[in-house]
Amino acid sequence: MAVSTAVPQAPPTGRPGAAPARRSRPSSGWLYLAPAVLALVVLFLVPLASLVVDSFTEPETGLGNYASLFTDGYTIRVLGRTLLIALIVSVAGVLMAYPYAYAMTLVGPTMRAVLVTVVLVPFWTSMLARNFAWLVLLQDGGLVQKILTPFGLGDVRLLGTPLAVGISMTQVLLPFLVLPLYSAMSQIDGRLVVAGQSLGAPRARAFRRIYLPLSAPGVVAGMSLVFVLSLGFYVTPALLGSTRSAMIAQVINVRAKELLDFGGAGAMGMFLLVVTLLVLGLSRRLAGQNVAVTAAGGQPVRSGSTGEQGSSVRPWLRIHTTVVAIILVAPTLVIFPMSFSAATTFQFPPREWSLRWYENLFTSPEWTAAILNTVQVGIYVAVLATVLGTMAAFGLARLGPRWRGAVNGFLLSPMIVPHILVALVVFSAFLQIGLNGTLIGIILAHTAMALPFVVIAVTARLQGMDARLPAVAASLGAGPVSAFRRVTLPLVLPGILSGAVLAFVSSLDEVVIALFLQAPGAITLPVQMFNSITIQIDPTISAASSLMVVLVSVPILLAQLAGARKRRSR
Amino acid sequence: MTGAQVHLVDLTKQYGSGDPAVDHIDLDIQPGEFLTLLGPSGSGKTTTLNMIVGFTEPTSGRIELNGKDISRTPAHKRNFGMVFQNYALFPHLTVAQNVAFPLRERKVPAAQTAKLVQEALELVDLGAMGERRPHELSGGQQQRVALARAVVFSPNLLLLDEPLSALDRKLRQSLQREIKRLHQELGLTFVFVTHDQDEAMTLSDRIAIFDQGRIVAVGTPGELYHRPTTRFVARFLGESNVFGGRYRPADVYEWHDRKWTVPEPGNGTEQQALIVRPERLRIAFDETSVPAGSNVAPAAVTDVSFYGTYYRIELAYGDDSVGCAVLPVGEPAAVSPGTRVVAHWRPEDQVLVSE
Repeated sequence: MAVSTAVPQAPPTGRPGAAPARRSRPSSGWLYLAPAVLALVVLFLVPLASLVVDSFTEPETGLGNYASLFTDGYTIRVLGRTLLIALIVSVAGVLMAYPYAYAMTLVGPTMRAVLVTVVLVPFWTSMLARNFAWLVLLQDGGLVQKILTPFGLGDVRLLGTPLAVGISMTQVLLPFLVLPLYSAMSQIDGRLVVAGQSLGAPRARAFRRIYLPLSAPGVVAGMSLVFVLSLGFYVTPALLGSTRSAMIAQVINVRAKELLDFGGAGAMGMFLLVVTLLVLGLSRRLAGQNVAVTAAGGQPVRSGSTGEQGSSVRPWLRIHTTVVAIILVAPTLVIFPMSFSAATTFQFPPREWSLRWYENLFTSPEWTAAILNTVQVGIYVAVLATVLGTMAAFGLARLGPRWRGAVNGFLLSPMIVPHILVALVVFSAFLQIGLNGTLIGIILAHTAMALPFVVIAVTARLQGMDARLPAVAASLGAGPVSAFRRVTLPLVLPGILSGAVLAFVSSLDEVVIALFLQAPGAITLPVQMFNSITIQIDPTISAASSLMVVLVSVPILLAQLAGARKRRSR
Repeated sequence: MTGAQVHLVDLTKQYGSGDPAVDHIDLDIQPGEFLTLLGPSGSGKTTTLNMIVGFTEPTSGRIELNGKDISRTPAHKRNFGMVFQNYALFPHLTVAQNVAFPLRERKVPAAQTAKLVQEALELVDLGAMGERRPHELSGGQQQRVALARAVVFSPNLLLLDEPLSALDRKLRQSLQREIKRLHQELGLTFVFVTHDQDEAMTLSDRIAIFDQGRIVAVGTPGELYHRPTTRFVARFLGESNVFGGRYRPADVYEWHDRKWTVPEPGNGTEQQALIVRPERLRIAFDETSVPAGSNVAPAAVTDVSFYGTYYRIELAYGDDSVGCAVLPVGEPAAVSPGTRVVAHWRPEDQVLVSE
């Protein structure tokens, strides 16, 4: 699901000397920000602090929990394995994504739209659905094994190995690489390489000495983002890996949920957070301020500035791009046939067809309850996050530049903190006040997670709006209320709506926190799907996955189309 | 419609510490006049405009409209129209809705609104464009919509903040004519901000020249051009030959070994520059052919350019002062770079300005 790298830039201040947006006292900005900031402090910062304290005091005061990270012999191997898998995933991802993104800058507008859609479809396909698809493909006797049989590799076990985890994670995270890479590359003037060739550099060297360095910020940004996201991955290793080759998030889950060892889990969480912040800080230093907002909604679907490069797509690039495109869409395409299978196993391709799993999805009490819970949670989250986030975005715009960056960073922090840590923090806090196992708890936690999407979407609209327009309205006789209602609100409304959709979708697809907070009566659809694989083998998940794909991607694709049509009419 | 009278009294705007953006200015804006605030960027003209329209609150001093202090009246209650540099049309509204915006704020009935909007659009030759969106119009058309929007509600005063600077030269000229025509037809008071001296000269009844937060001169374009009082004004408005000599009261100006006649003394101090506008400067090949009574300065021609209707001759006066003269085409322009000439002018064509 959509997560962004660090903190987009703080909004710029208006042109000095020009008619200023009537900035009432900066203190009014804090008034708008108060609810969102307060919510994050209460839901996130305070529990985080208390968890930090736990990690130093539970079960006894001292550095024991941190020492045992490196000395108990088990944890250190988990940490090492996690870092290694994250590294491999991000390197493999770049090798796949770089040529693909490069091809995107070379092709014509129609092909580019196709390639962008191919990236976005999995981006908006439910995380759980994609992992389920990989499980089907990689299982013993699955499609991948069958393809490998002629090469004598038919009996190589995939499921339950780090390899399966790596393959699935790479595919799941690929969009997070392609989008920032494409965004960085589309800003490079393709004629520079031609210029380099005219100065005597052979084509390959011109590419290496000119294009590669210019696209490096995108590589750094994308890689560090994927690395950080990989660190905290829970669902993929839990479904496709095994406990013998566990990653850090799985161990945190066991420590916290089964052993109630918050000291130990807290120390691991802190380790995760520190590595995350280090990597992101380093990438910011390396790639500059301006990198990679792969944020939801902010897809860089620019009409190409690099149109005329004079270089065509070479055959090897064409093949590579096709293969990557297939890998990107394949899981989504597995899900639909699966959902019409008649078999009671995860057999693919299905031999017989039926609608029994759809029937089960909409009639069995546990599935219908899960659907209802999910929709209910999603709606509450969308409303809460939209109200808080919109107010916060307006507040941010009123702050002085000194505070704006810091507050913006704080509001977006739920995006960069690994989900497993958020889940852990929220779980330990809610356990104490009895919100565990309630939908309210899930709603509150999801609201904190969804807040950044709304802040980013509304802030983008506010920045895109001519800052003088409220002042213009005033010069035409509109008082502050009227200027807001007739000018600012209509102009910002698309941002608010897309923020609301993103908030809803992010809640709809969120598994890790919902898994932590689940209890009978408080099970969301993704949790039910997760349990249907891990606890019982229930093919209803394929019908649920298909439903999720349709529910999530259709509104977003429609919104994209509407946006594209609007752009074209300009 | 009659224009309003606006007085700026001891008006000051200070941002933080440091030099004030606007430093104790006084200015009387007469009913129905076209007044231009002219100055380099950062000279305080836009801040002054923003204080008049009500976007910026003055630090001290006051703004009076027809004798009433409006310094604390919020912008939306001042009833001033404003036109902005980059058009600032509302992108979510059609052209007609943009123009109707101020009328709806004033609760004008629908039928009358429609009529007024159509009249305003016809006034700027966009009668058929009402249903378009702003982004479908050219820059010049957008600025005309902005003009219509700013006058449709019969404001007391129309303020224009560098409205033409985003347009190319040809469009700028046609919109200049349009603005001038609007001013004549509406009889409104116009306050126009620009840093373009030609624009200021062509359009204005009067010009107020800003420098470093102060108004350094106010006058009609002719007064300011022909009788500038300071070197800054002379340099900012048109071109000049500037001589940095010494004034010896009562009737001599010394420049190197030359002694020039001064028919009317300047402000009395010795530190004054003597300037001569290019079109007043004549050129001879030797001093014997200079008419008696002229002031004379030897010069070398550094460049000659042909402008169609005239030649522009650039001159160097030996002491680092440079200047220029214009010669009508047809006159024997037998000069070329390097030619030694004698520049001369009638004493009444020179002006003494303070440094």
